[in-house]
Amino acid sequence: MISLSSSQALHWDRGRLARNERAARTRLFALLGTCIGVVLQVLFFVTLAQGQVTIPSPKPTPEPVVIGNIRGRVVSSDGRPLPNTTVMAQGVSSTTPSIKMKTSDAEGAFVLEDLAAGLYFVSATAPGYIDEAMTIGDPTELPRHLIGSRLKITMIKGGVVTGTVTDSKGQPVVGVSVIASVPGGTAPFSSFMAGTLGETDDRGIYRLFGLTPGSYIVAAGGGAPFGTFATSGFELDVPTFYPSSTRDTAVPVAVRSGDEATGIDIKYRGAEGHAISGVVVSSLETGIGSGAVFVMLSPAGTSSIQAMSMTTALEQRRVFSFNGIADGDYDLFAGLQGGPTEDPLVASKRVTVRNGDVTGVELKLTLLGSINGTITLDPIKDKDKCDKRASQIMEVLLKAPRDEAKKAGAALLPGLFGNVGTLLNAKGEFNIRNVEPGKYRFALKLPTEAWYVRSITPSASGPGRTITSERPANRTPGPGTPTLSAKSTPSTTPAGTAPSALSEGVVTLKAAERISGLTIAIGQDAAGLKGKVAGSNEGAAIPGGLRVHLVPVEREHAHNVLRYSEAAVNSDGSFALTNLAPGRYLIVSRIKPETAAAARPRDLAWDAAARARLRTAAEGANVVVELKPCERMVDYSLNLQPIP
Amino acid sequence: MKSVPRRLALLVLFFACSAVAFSQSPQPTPKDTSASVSGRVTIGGKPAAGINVVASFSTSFLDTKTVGRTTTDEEGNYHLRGLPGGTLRIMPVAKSLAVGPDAKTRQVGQSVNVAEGEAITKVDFSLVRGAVVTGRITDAEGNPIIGEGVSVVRKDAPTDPNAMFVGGLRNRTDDRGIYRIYGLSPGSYKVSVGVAAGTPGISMMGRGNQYTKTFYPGVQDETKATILELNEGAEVSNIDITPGKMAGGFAVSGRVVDADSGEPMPGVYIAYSPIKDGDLQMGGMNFTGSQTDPAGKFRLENVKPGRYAAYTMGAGQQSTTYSDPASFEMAEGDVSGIEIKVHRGATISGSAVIENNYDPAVAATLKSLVLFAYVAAKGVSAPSYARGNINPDGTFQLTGLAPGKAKINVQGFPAPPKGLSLVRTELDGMDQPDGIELTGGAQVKGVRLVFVYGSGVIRGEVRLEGGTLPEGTNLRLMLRSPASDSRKFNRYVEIDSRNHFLIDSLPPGNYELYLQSSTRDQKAPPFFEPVIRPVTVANAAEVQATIVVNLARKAGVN
Repeated sequence: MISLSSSQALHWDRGRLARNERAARTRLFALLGTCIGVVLQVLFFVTLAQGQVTIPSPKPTPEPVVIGNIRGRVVSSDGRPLPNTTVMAQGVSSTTPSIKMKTSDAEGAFVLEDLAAGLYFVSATAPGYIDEAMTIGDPTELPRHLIGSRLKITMIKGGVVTGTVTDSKGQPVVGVSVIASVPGGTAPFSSFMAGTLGETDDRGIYRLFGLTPGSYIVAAGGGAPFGTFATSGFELDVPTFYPSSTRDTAVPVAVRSGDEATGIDIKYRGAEGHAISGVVVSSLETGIGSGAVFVMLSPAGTSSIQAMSMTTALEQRRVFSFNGIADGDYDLFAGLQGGPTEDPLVASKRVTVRNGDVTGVELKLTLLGSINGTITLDPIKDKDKCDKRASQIMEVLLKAPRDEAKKAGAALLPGLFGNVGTLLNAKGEFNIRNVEPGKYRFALKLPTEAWYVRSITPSASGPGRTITSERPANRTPGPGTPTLSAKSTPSTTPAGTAPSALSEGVVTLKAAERISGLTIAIGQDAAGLKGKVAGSNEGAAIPGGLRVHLVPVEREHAHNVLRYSEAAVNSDGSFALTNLAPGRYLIVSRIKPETAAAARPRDLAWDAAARARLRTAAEGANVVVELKPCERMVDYSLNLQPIP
Repeated sequence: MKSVPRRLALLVLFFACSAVAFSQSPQPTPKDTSASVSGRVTIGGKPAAGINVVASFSTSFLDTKTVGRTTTDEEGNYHLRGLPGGTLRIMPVAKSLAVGPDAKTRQVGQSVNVAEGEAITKVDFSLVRGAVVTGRITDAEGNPIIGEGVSVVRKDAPTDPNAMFVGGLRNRTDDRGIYRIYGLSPGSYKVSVGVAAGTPGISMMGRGNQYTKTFYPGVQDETKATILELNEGAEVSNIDITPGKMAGGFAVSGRVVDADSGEPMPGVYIAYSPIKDGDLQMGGMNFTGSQTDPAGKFRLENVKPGRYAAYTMGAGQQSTTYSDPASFEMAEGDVSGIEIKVHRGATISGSAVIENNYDPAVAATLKSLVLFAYVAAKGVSAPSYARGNINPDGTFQLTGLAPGKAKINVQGFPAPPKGLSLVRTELDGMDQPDGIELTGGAQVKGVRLVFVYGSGVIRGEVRLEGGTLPEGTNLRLMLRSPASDSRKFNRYVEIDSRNHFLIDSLPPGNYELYLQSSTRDQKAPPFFEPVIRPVTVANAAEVQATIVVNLARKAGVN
């Protein structure tokens, strides 16, 4: 909560400043501290939720808008209703960004009204509590909700870490910042909120609260992670990790919900660290312009912000520096918003500090890429429709996950520049913005089981990709364009050839490239297959990691990943395959290979070799299932096949 | 197509932070590091051994760099070496210590203007053990109030209804509702939580002001607050407060339409301001991130009783529109049917030039400026701003402005580039010092923004002779253009603890240094007659200026 009077902030003049300079400066400084904190939080939250949302020039939407509610209850982890929590719905991919807020009533109930059809993040906040859904590490995996949903939001009590920081003589270290971070990995989303950062008091005691349950490393000293507004006197020091170590040898502290981890005492070393310094420059002719350049430093491969610096618009080469750096590998990340281009400019670099200062690091800001196209619904007669909830294209969740192990560096990028959702309008035009160079595939979550992804078609122009700085009009694919299609009837696609841009469903994006003209066609008569895997003898255990796969019968579809489908088999043998193209399939069960790297979780069929092996196995088993349009097979029984 | 949320966040930054950005003069990374500062730290008059002392300087209002650190010896002496020139802040790292009751300033640190290679001595710190105030903040049901700011201010501190909570992390309650504020210098204090009713606010996360300003031991009348007498090193505990809950407000709903077509406007941000004495703009702004839905409808929750006007927030984006504020009266119940009409705004376009520069590197900095136009209008009108960049060819455009007088200002983020000052806004060859008159939807072309580039420096000191300043009286120094000058240059100059000052990035020309005395009591007569010292500045040159004040000659006595 910050407050300001417009007369202070907007009609500021130096005369006024002079009249009341001391008090004013103190107040503004405090205001700034709060302001920056809040803004950073909001910046993060908003980018996360609406990272790629642009707003159209305010024209009324021509299409009729479907409106609905999301209702639910907020409860504590012991099931008690929680009144007076703030529940917020944020539109994820809508072209009309929307935030709705409600306070839960005495029964913990809330109704978020008048939401346009679309996808929403719904989260609740209450002091001392954490929304359980927000505790997952990857913000891109936060649950999205459709209108008409009924939710139960579970709030868990945050944990506490407390202890004393003393120096080598056993004296309390006063006013040193203490921060809890998640070792190595991605910090839970909620840990960006207040509480994980604290400061020792005059007795050297600190208390961090509202922590998401998990394992933390706790450090005292060093520069503040969210910018240094005022000197603490500890900026030159290498942070001392609990109990009295460097980051590598830090002892993790287990934090449980509603529990206090006490006696996390840190013996402060106060060793002076090294410096990393350099400049941020732009790869564009226009230079950096007036925008705010943030430079962030994190231990290599992590999302923990160890230090942040904001460079001033002194000149086009923006100077940055960090003090108090221990030996080790670090990722530097620079981002510019509000610069000469609509899209943000970013740069990242990995640096190694060994026994000395690192100077002259050049971070060159470049544009990120984007992928644009249209999602279309295949025309269908009303009587043939099997969707009963009037689903909208706006409710499709389109993601472009990376189809390769992420290279070093820039671990902060997705979180801060919001490669979270896709901008989508009611016409189905989508825009996946702020994409780093790399290989991407498409993952769609459909709002109804009645739909399936029929085809993904690249642009007709050029060799399957369009590179322009302008956003060109959409083109319809011409004849002979390589297409991925899930229709069981043979298409014009030459069987078995790999389309150029969409090689087996994968798009390769170069730096600052804008791919456009993609068409994703959605069929409206999807089939579904639910059933059970039964052992050959009664009561045979279902092996862990067992998955059911559908493989297209037609050989010409052997390379068409859209015709493959897979689902996990539950411990009771049940499985459910939904959003399937009607047609004939071979069905086969397999154990998920251990080596399917967690770095890029994806269906087996996306890997050519695995797909070929899968096909061989499926053809060997030769169990065929035919699914008619809109057919929902519910009690299919699949015999447990011998595991190869 | 503009990305609104992020621009919105930046907008908040601009609103809240730009003022300081202007007042702080950013400093480039210095080269020569042969200066030094030395002095002595004492606690209660005794030498303080083993205290860290740091030197730092601000690169911008957001960023402070530590440039030196040392430890006091057995005699309490410190000697910071290897320092760059500039305005450095020297501070003992001892937050539980405080300045003594007779100190000139309440802050432990001192700012010192250091010339390159200069050796400054006797920057002494006379400290005492600070006092501690601690207690617990709970609600009426006895539950802890978490993360609430606690304010400990001096008994005689003026009350400002718009003052926001001052203090960082340190002054907030923890998960048990406990706060502990330390390092307080001896004196008389009052403790409070909450905000005064009617304080406007920007609430981004939906939680507005929850508690009314309540003083220890639980009174809302400030005159009834218990005054705590804090002695050196004292700890006063159990200063518990249960603040009153702020009365809940009501909802205001309505819609936003295009004034010409009557069509609804979706996705528009809505803010509202209290109307005081018929002037909307003085009352502050409430903004909770509310926006119109696809049908152009909006709903503002928790609006406290009072008179307000709601309007659209065009600033922060390249908006081409502005809105008429829709006023409403909030009594005891929800208000509905508010209609906000949106109009196509006026446009100002033209070009920017630097009139005294031939250096292409300086010329290139022009495009890093952000232009900000603000329309001042009398009576109830929505704040109207436009933001724009200067293109590489020097042209600019500002759109979506309401009718009125538009004043153009410059910003950069987090600070504008050094040395560029906007001196004239010309229309048809005439300076428009009061702004450009805009009528509804006007297209004003050919506006010329004239900048001057400055790299001149004034280094000087104020020498007090024939006496000392009484407690509570300070020096205030301004650098301004002579009265006859059309530039109306006026800059506050910070005087350091040794009464030295440093002013840089000045455009060439004639100035005057204007020194006066200031006391906390604004009505008190000046302690000495203002002293005016003319000074001439040239680019890339440093001039020395010493201002001598004879305190033996009191103000009003010749």
